[in-house]
Amino acid sequence: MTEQSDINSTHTDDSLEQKALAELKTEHYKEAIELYRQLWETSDNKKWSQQLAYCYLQRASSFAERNMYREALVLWDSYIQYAESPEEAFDLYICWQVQAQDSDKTQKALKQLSAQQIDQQFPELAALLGCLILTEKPEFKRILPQDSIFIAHLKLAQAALQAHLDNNQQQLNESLKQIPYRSAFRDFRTLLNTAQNLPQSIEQAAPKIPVSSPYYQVFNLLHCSTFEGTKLVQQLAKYSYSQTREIAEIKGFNNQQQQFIESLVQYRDDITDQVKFNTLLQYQSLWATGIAESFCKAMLIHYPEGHKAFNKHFNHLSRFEENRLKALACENKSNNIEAEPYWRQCVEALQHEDADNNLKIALILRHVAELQDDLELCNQLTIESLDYDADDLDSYLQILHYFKQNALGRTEHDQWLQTSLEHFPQSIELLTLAIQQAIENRQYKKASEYALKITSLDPLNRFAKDILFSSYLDHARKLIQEKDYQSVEHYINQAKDLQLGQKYQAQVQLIQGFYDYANQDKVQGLTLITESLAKIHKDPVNACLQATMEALLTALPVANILEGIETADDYLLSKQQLNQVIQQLNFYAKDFEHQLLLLKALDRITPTLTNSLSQQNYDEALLIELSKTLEKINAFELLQHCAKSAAERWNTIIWQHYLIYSELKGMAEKCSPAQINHLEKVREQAINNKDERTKVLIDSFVDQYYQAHSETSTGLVESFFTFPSEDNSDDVYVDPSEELFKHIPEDELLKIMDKSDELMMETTPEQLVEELTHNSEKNEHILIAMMQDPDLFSALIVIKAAITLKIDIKLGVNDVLGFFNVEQTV
Amino acid sequence: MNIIKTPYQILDVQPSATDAEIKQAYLSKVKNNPPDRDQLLFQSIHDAYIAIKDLKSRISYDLFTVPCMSFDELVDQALKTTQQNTISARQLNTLLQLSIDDSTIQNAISRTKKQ
Repeated sequence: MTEQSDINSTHTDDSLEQKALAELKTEHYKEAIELYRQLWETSDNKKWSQQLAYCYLQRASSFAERNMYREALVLWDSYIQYAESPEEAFDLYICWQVQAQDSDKTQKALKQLSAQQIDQQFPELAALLGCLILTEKPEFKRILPQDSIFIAHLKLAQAALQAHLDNNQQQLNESLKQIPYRSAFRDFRTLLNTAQNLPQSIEQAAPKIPVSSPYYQVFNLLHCSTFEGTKLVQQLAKYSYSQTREIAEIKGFNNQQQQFIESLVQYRDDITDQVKFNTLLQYQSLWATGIAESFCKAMLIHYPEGHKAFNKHFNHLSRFEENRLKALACENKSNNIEAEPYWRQCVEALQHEDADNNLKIALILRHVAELQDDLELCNQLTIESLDYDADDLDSYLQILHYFKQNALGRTEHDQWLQTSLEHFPQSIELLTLAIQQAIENRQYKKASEYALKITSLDPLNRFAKDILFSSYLDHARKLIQEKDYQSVEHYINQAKDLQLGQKYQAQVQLIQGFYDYANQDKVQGLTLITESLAKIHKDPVNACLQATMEALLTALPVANILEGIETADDYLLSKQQLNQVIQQLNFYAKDFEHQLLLLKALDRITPTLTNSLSQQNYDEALLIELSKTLEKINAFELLQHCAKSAAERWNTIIWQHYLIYSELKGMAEKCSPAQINHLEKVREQAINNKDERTKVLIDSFVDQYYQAHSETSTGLVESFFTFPSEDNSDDVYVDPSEELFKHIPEDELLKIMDKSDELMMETTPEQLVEELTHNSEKNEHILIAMMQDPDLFSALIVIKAAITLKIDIKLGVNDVLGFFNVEQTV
Repeated sequence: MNIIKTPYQILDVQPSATDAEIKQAYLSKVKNNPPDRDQLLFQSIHDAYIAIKDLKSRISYDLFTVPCMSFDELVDQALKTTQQNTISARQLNTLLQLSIDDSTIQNAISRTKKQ
């Protein structure tokens, strides 16, 4: 039994010890102490007592770290009960006693320190005690072993300090020299050496003083005293009030400066605009006269609440200045709308001053204009500004730009352009705008005059030279056409003299050829024409197009001119050559009068173009460009061919538009309801696809359709009931079926109109015909008739609406078909 | 020290300077401070010139600008002293006295884990 009991006991101890060790390793010293004490009670195992001592010391240190020195000291007492040599941590005990401020116990502990301990075993404690003796605990000196090296070095340190106080440099250096590197006063020596050579020495000394040194803090204070201005304030924020005051004294700051620093340190983490403003007001005497006032004035933009205080401390701001600063404060907060009334107040204030403030007012109005989101208002303000300063080119350009962008501003644009040119007759920007405007208005002579003026101001201006070049050749063509050959040479030479490059010279040579052909020598003329076309074009199609066009423009026989030019209907145009054709068409299409001639010329190359469109894989963008040009010059057949060939390859909505557009030869009024419905559907698709260009094209076409059918109505059916305008002018569409429904009472008619609108949205022509006639043989004829006359569809919708509403209108489907002569057709 | 850097100060010209004087000053500054040497300085010179190059620019500058200011520079100027950066023995002693607090002792004997 006893053996068994011993075995059980040993087993329990092992388990407890493991638990205790686990607690110790996880730094749960309280729990570990409890377990080890249980073990210790069962047996005085030396290992357990060592672990107990260790745990007590760790707990004591943990309390000390939290500044609970008295608790630490109680645990120390437990520690020494189990520690084999408690003197190993005796330095900690002394430190805690010093911290606990128990003078008797501290002195008692210090008395126990041997010379060996203080000189060799506890260097950190020695450094600390040295620092304390030199500062606030001089009484420790007499308690420590007087025969120790520590005391010897302490005497040297005290002598050095005294020599420093006595300003005895020699004695100071001698004392410091005698303090060896391995001394408790090593950092004190570094400190004194550094203090003598401020500020240069500070950076060099910084790495020598470790964080654990008792002199680390004073060294930092010393370092802090070497900073200036803002950096000093930032550093001082780390220190106590008394330390800050002392550094301020070292820097030689007066009371005002010291208070200024304290004020900044107080708000160190949150120096707001308000704090800055108020600090500037309070300590304004720290700066030269006017500086604080300027700053505070500038600060008002960031801190507009300070106006009242500003006026109290400094000269009152004028009405203008006060409003200016308020406006700028609003703008500073991106609040432009609120800024505007303040700027208006500024303008008013300036208007009441004696001085000539016109330029200031103009500039303020322009500034306010820039802040506007509303372009119309912006333009009005810019115009207003010219009342005060009429010589501002930028303002004129802005006004012209505004009216140019505004579809309704054409007249204003032309007027403002004239006014601008009166003020700035030599402005190339304005003259360029004038040329563009003249070309838009088809005033080519005027455009040439402006171009000539630009070249007189800027002989290298390419835009103006291009305009002049076109103008000279145009004159030459006209003179050849009129057989007035006298001045042709003159204009040809004028164009030549512009020296625009080889391609331009070839164009001149071409006109020269036509001139020679018409006036002098046909053979020579043809040679020149052929040579020049060969220089300009690499393919026969473009050459043919230009030769035909120039022959038509000069009224010369096309067939004769083309004799010398190779033609080939089966020629396939490359992408680049097709692009060149587009460019030529656009060039000649600039002049509206050339349009018919251009269509004639285009006929010459149509077989080649259709052939190329069918066989070549041009990209879609190029075909869209071609279609735009063909649309512009009304070349519907070619456009239809292009659209068909493109629609086969791409599902792009624009081709749906061009198919209908070209089929109807651009006449929107001929659109069938089915086509209109289709266009409106694809228009929606264009909107969904964000295809703005196609949407605009369809909008314009559909609008033309509705305008053609009714000037005032918004729906197709409404057009029936719109009364003809009084003037009955030719361009107002008068619906023939008005007669058909005029007998219906107005209240019933209104109901039928509403229903008709509703049915129009949901019924296709095919459905309508099917529902009304129930005769498939007739249907096709009626649908064809509808395509030819959309009013038939609308009339039949009215019939269906009346049937749906059960209103007897004394008319049937056959009456309507008879009215539109469809019965006869059927 | 200029706390507020106005375009006039950047170009070293008087507010009453003529267009020609301002342009001359600008060209001289640009010549001495090319962009490849100090891009920021060059930019500030250029901006200053644009701000005051003619009468309209100068009036616009006066109307719509408030000279930029640096509070830090203001603090620097307020704390300027003529005193040399030295420390007397008495002051050092005072600093030494003021430097001792609980943390001094705690840092000094910071080791605790002896075993």
